[in-house]
Amino acid sequence: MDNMIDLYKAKLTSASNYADIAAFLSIQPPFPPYLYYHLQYFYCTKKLSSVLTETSKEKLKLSMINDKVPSYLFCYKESHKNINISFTVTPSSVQNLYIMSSLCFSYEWKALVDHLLKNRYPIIVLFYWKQRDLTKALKILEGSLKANYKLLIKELSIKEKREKQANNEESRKKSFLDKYDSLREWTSKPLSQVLDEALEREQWFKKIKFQLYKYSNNVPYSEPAATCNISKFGSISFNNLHDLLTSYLCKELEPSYEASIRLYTNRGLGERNYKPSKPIAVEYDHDLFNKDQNLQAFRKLVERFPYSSKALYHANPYFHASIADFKDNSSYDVFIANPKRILIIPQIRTSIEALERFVSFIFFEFREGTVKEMDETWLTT
Amino acid sequence: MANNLDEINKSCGNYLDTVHALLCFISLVCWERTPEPYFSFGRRMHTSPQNRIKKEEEVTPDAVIQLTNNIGLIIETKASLPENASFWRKEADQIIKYDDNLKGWWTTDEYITDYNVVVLIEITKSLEFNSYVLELQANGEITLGDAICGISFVRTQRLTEQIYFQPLWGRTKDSALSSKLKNGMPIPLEKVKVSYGNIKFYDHEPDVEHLIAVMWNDVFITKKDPSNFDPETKRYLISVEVNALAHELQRSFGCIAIRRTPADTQREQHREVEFPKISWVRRALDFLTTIGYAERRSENEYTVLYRLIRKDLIEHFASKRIKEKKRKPEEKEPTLFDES
Repeated sequence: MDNMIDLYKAKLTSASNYADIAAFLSIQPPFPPYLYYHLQYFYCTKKLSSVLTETSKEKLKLSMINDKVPSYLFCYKESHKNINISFTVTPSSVQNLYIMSSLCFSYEWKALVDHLLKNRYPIIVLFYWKQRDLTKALKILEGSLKANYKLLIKELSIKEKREKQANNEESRKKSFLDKYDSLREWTSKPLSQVLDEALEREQWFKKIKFQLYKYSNNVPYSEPAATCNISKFGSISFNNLHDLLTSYLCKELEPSYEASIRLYTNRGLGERNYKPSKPIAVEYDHDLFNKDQNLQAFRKLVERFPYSSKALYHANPYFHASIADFKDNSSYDVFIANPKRILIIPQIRTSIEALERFVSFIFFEFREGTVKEMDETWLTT
Repeated sequence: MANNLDEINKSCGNYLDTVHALLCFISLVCWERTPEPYFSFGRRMHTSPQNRIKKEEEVTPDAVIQLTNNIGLIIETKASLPENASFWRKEADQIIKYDDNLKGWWTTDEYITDYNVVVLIEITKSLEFNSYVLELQANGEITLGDAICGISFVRTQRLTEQIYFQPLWGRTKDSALSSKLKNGMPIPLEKVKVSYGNIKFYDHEPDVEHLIAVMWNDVFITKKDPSNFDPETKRYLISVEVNALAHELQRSFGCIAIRRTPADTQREQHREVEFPKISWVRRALDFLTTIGYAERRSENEYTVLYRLIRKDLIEHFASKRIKEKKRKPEEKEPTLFDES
């Protein structure tokens, strides 16, 4: 096992481009247990090398090991163990969107992401994959497998609408959490079945784990050929089939980021010479806000939005609030006057990062919808 | 003036309702009309020597729309009226004052052939106000000209939130508008938010909490920078100049923001009204100074002691105002109704 990690480190040090690393990974046998190739997408508009090295602090050392393919050695000392991971940061097909990757154990990867990427907002933003994009990519991956492999969903972290409401009117009004449950499910179902059930039970995924089983004469192998984990905030890890998973999963998911970035670009009045842009609309497929309970739940959620100040202009029957993102120095108005959608109206400064943070907060904590630019023609319907 | 939390919240809500009602009415009148009519949120106009209330005086109706070179609308909103009807005479006189050959239209000689004075009244007061005005007329105290028409408005929810306009009395002289209004006309609130989502003011001074909430959340935040953080007070020290701040508010949320085309911005500046006014901004900054959220450096310069406020901003500043009023009951509160 150590041998494989050492070989990977050596490859990172000597590689002259990312294709060298990809070629190395593609010829490897399945990784030993608990060893995964991890990828984390992140958005950053600043100079990357400075952003990463800024985090160097006591107990943490970051040194560059290859400047041709920006690769680093991350050393971190915890009370009882030393973590040494080599990783690389490569640009994706989308501008300002990068992929941090490494072959390592999950606890090591967690330490790396926690220290270098998490809680770095607004300098670094972990963009959110919407359910629709994720299921589309998984379907494409499944379609590419043909008869060679079968994809089975093994584990899900989900949010689900609660069937039975609380009897007590007071407790029902009290919290949004009364209406949705967070669940973890272990299963072994084909993708289509899981997606059908999700639709039926109004579920949306936070994390998905699936396995690919090789088939021989219509009989599956008992051991999976690959295990893959995806989390909504741009993280993928797998232990085999590098080429298949990167070509069909990563390459399918990257354009969804591009669409979001394009949508959120150039929205603030200040950067548009004070000519306002159209609002961003989060659309739902049914009249979600017809129920007062949902509107109140949304209001409570907005009140909880971290690191922000709010001014509530109207709570009922329509919702109108101003939100200022204290970390990013952006602000926007949130307006609900239609049971199907939330409007986000950019103000003087409204950045890509701030819009992504708020939309992903709604999607993750409240309900996923479709995000797009508001179109006046919808109002005639 | 609103004096407790509920009243202040309601008053701030009413202010935005009036902004929305004006925008919806302008949309109702102007949509799908070519050439696009001129309109303005507030406009300096002049009464004639024959005016029944004030002769040859400057007036600023809430909105003015010029449909063609021959027909124009002078709009006055009454989103809220004093509870005591004895104070309504002033409102009635204001309407009669606008029923005049006003000067200040977008025509060569600044006069227009035909006009309507449109009184937009929130529905809960509309019938009562209507009766009051008719009674004044019956008593011979006033004469309502045929140019004056009343239109009630109400927020309704039919699938979407709308503002519904319905004729009360009189008739508009524009046939297209008359036919639109004949059976009542709903305008989706979203529709104006798409086009005018950033408009947060009109030519009336709002409660100080509304103005401060906009300044705090939308303007000061853009000036927050690690370089102006004071570790001792744990506040960001943001220098503001009153005129520059007023200008920023005007071009983002007020009088300049509502003008959209180059023609709009170049039109007769002397007739355009400014809002939020410099005096409103100064009063808001003085209030922040009183409650310890700003320091006055000179007549036009302040330092705002900016920090994250987790509580709802309107409630936060309203409770500060109430507390301050209790502390200094003898002092006159900064006036929120400027005549300028």
